[in-house]
Amino acid sequence: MNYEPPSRDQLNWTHSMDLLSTIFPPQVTPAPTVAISGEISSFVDDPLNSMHINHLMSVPNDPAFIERAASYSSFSAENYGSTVAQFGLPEAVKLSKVSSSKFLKAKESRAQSELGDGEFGSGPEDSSVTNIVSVTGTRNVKKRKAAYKSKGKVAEENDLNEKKCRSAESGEKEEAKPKEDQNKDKKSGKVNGSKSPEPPTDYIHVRARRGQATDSHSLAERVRREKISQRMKLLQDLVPGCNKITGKALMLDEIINYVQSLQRQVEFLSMKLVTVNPRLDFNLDNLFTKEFLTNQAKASASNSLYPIGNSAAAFPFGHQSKESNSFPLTVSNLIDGNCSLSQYESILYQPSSMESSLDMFVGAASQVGNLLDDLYFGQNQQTEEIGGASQSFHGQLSATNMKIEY
Amino acid sequence: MNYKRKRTPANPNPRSSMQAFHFLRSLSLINLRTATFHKRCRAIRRAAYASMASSTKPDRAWRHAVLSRLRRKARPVRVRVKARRRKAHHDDALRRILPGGEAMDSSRLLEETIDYVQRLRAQVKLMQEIVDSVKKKESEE
Repeated sequence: MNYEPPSRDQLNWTHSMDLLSTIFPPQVTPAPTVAISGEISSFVDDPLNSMHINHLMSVPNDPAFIERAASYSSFSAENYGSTVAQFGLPEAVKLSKVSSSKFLKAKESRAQSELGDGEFGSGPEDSSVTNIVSVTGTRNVKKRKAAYKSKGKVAEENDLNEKKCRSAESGEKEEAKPKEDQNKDKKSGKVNGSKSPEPPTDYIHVRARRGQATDSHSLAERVRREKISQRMKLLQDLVPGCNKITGKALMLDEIINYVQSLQRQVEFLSMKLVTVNPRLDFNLDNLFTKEFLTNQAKASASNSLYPIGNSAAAFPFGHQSKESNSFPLTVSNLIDGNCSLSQYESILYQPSSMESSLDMFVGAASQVGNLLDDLYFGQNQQTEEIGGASQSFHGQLSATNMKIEY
Repeated sequence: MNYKRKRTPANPNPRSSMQAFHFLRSLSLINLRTATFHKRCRAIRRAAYASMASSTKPDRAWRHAVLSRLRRKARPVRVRVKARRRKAHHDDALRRILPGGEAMDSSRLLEETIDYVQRLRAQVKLMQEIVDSVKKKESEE
């Protein structure tokens, strides 16, 4: 029997919730968790996208916080996210997983010291435990596995499992390791019964099996299936209206339909943009270059864009005037002391963490476009003066035939 | 001189800003270079995909597929058909849709799909907003 009796589950759940509430008292944790969550949720469009977790290294390295978070690192982010008081906790947990490999090693050694013997074949507590492992949980498991690889002894890892279980008292354990890591070393995995198929819903059996050292295929299969199911869950959240659909085939159909519809939308919108395009001009220079200077990691890409940005900004409005008398019209218009520049920047750089910066940018861009329209029409006669005033920008202007990669 | 460059706070979402920047830049250049309706249509579409792809990390398989498809006029189909592909019959349709989806196994395929869908959504949103803002401005005039 692989399933934990429900009472025990609930006990663990409530107990773990109590532990959570005690360990994360509201007056202590809001700062780091909110900060982290703000950073994270603003970073990615989809807050559930943990693919970009590696970017998020700027976690406050509060060791106590990380310790606590890591001890709960196997909590399901998605499952408990709505119920855990701290919304930032799951994301913080995710972060801490990435950055706390050192801590986990330390914890492991602690576990070793605490549990003297490597015998963990002891009893029902371990054997019949089930887990609620989330996307992040299993993914984190892989990271921790990488951290553990140097050890190479299963006993330690299982000890760590036990220690975590006891400290967390959540009944969650680490997932069974992939074959290349574990098969040789599994001495006394938990008795999980037979090779049962994947249990339904969220329960995933964790413990390695006793005497299954040679059966690498099933473990690998299980890991692979779990990976796929995690990704299907992520996709379910991405694709609207897929909450009720269970089953891979239907889900795949939905996904395919959605992707096709998105692609068709792109085509349609590009057609629409053709008609409205002559009206647009973007002062990319002012909007982007500074931002990219300070913030972009892709320095090379952005550096190569500056001249392009300038030249794009310098193009006269509309496509009729193809001559490259590249008066940096837009730039110079802004030089002429538009108070709206600050308005653009304030719009663009609002620290609204939850809002997608895409919206902000587009809003700003459209306003830029609008303003530039007005300016162009209003100041058409002043181009010579403006051109004269902006000699300094000519150096930055690259040729208009700069090849753009599209 | 009133023009000052402010110190900007950290961009909360550099990825889609990059995408937006690429796209808008390409848009403004398309504006000036091509005249025919159809050519511009195609060019905008290519710019959309290019901006989508350029803002991804280089370890995304579909990024490479999209960019190579766009840049080379002749389209060399370099598909490493693994024998494994035959087994995953339910994935085939998804593979066809996703650029570069041929030579991937199922889990990676799903991962790429996730990323691709995110980018597509961002791109569609961006384009929609551009269109809307221009339309709004036109209606104001």
